[in-house]
Amino acid sequence: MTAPSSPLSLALFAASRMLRNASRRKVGRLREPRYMIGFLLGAAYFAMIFMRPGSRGGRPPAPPSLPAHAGDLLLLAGAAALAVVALLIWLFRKGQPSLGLSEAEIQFLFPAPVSRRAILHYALLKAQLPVLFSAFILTVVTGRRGSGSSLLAGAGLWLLLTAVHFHNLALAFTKARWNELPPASRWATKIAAFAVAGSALGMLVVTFGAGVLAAASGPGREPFASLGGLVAALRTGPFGTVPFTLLTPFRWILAPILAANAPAFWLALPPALVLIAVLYAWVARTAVRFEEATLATASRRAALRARRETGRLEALPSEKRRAAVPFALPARGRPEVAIVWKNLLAWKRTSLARQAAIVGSLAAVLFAASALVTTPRADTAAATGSATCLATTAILALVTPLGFRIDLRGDLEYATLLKTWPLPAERLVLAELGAPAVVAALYGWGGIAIALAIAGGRIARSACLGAAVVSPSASGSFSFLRFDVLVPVALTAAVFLPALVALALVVQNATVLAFPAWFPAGRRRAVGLEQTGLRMLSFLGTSLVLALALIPGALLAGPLIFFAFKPLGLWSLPIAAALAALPVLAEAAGGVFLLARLFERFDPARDVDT
Amino acid sequence: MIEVEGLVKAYQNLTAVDGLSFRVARGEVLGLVGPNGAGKTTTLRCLAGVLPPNAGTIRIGGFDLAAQPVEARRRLAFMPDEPRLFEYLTVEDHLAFAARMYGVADAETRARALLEELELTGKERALPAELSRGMKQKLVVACGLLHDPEVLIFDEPLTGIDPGGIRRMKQTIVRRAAAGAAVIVSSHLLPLVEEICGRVLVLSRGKAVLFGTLDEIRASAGGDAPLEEIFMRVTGGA
Repeated sequence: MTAPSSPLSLALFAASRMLRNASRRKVGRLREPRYMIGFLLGAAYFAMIFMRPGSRGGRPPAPPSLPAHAGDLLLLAGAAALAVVALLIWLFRKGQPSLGLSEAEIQFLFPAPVSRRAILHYALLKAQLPVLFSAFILTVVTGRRGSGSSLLAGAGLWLLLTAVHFHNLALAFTKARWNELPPASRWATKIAAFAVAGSALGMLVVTFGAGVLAAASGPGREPFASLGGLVAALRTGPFGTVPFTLLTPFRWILAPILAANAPAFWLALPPALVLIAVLYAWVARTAVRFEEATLATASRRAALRARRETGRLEALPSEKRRAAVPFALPARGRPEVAIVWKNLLAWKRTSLARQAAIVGSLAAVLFAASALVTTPRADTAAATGSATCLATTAILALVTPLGFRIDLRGDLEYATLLKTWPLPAERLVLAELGAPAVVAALYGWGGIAIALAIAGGRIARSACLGAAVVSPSASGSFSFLRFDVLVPVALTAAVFLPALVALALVVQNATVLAFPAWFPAGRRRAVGLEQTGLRMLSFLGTSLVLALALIPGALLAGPLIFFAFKPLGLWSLPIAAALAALPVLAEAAGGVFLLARLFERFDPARDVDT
Repeated sequence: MIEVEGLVKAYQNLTAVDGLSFRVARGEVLGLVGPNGAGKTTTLRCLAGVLPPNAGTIRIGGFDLAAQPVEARRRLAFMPDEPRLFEYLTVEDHLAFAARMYGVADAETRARALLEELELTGKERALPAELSRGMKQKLVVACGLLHDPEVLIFDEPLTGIDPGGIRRMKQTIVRRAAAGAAVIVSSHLLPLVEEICGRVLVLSRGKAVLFGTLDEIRASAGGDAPLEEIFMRVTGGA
């Protein structure tokens, strides 16, 4: 029998196998054309973001040089901010001595013939993976700073994140150890620690407050000159050099990140390493019974991951909220209503009547406010608010119901069940599209009602005062901010919205039903570069189809606007929208028929990726 | 009540069900057994209308599943091996949904009785995430039984259920058959099949290798051997 492996070799083995297997799986999938196309599109997208000239991830222009004392100030301010966060954690964070291991790691490691110290070391090493990844991402996002080297900046960030991890773990262990003390000692220790941390926090706040006041009242007009005064004030504040000394470990750990050049980085490195060594010693010396907390955290994380994989991120609804339903569902009646009801529950546990009442009340309040305001620029403000509301509504009404996937796209995961329901395919498909249509109507018509209420308030005020309707005197590129423009535009949107949403929903659902291998069903959101590319492909494809499908409507509405615009002005738009909606609705109806055929051919055993 | 004639379900390189024919009468419980990959679940999915067969006819309560799918589905309930529940619906939401889907007249009374029968009383506001595997299975059964179907199809109904629950589930199945329902139970638990099933259909590689009452099967096997022994013999000990 050989000796058990060291924690380092165990951690390296687990990390290397995990990376190797994940990479193999990803690379293996690229043999399929859909993943290869998705990968290429996704890679091109990220390359465009990170490599474009002047982007944060590429080679940024050289940062403007700062005055000499600005570096000191930045270090001091950063250290103070870090100290405040650390002290708040000391004061308010509960001690849960969890090592952050997975359920599988617990199953293999806890009963294994390895020491508790070895398990602790394994956990610390394992945590280095996310720490390194975070340091890498932060380096890419923030670009080169200070030392001018991405590598040194990344190393500095890695030191900081490691110190934060060690500190939080050691603190959790310490607090858990306090909880194991006899009651009298436990409370005495906690009160003493609370008093020390609270005093330190208070001292920092007072010192900084005094320093800021001193700097603000100083004679210098150049900002960094005043801030330089702040540094001086901090060193000679009401508590003398105590706050400055208190910040020492925080300055040590931040100094490598903010080092002005490579020599400064190497000079700042030893104190930072000493601090990390001290923090490690703290973790190792205070290691308490971490098994229960680690197990509980692992179970919680596993449950959260399972929920995330099924597309549900939010917590389970409370007992009270569970009583809320979109509307009462009698047992008799058209079964399609049950499907709409069910999918609305997938969206939100709320009463539709309540939502409508909220929107109605908001519109009434805004109408009244708009009508009663007497400030000189009220008309401009109302027109701007109304236009903003319309623009937001247009985006929300289209994007939100499509994004929720509370239709066939989400329900195809349950295709085995759906196929047993006693409904013809056409009716089932139509019912499945009902919930997102209701949500779109709620957002869309609700938003339009609010926009009209804001504009209507001003119009009603003018009418009551017996004056002509005063339009804001906007001009140039903002000439559309007029009530006689906003009202017909809002009505046009209200008329055309249902047809547009119906068509968009049909196209989106058809994509998943027609190409289940390319665009998987379900509410789960797959991740990865190739999935980003596939989503882009889906977006481009559906946008193109949607644009083509709108052509017949445009061909009908165009001549009407041409002839009716002169006599009716902008009021010809709502009429044209009603006419354009007819072929769009006809296409949507044809789409439902097509979806029904696709659904009949849909094979859960073959097409649902479980 | 359930009539299957020449059922074939094939995939690209595999014929999962190959020319299967059988009938299940009112009040009868048919046990469907076979080794893993024999085609049991595919057969049940075809019977439930989940998978369209490549050939053959299926009649449920006298209605052709291909020609009159809605009428046929209205008369059946399919309880799959893996309980699929909507994670955002509570227990009572699931029952309300099933009631509306099948137009159940006295839904509340029936739902209450079923929750009692399946020991789910007190869990009305629970979400699937808060139910054990066995409870989820029971909820699927409760939803399936709510509209009092004439045809019941159970795929591994006892998985994850505790001993008390197993006894109750067996009673539920037998009671529904006694009330006139045609029942198919697919299970690897051969003692369960021996206990509650009047006839047994043994599948192997998509084909029926044995079909009849337990006595007929034992007789054809030439003795008084237990079902497990006969099963091992005809399926090649798979």
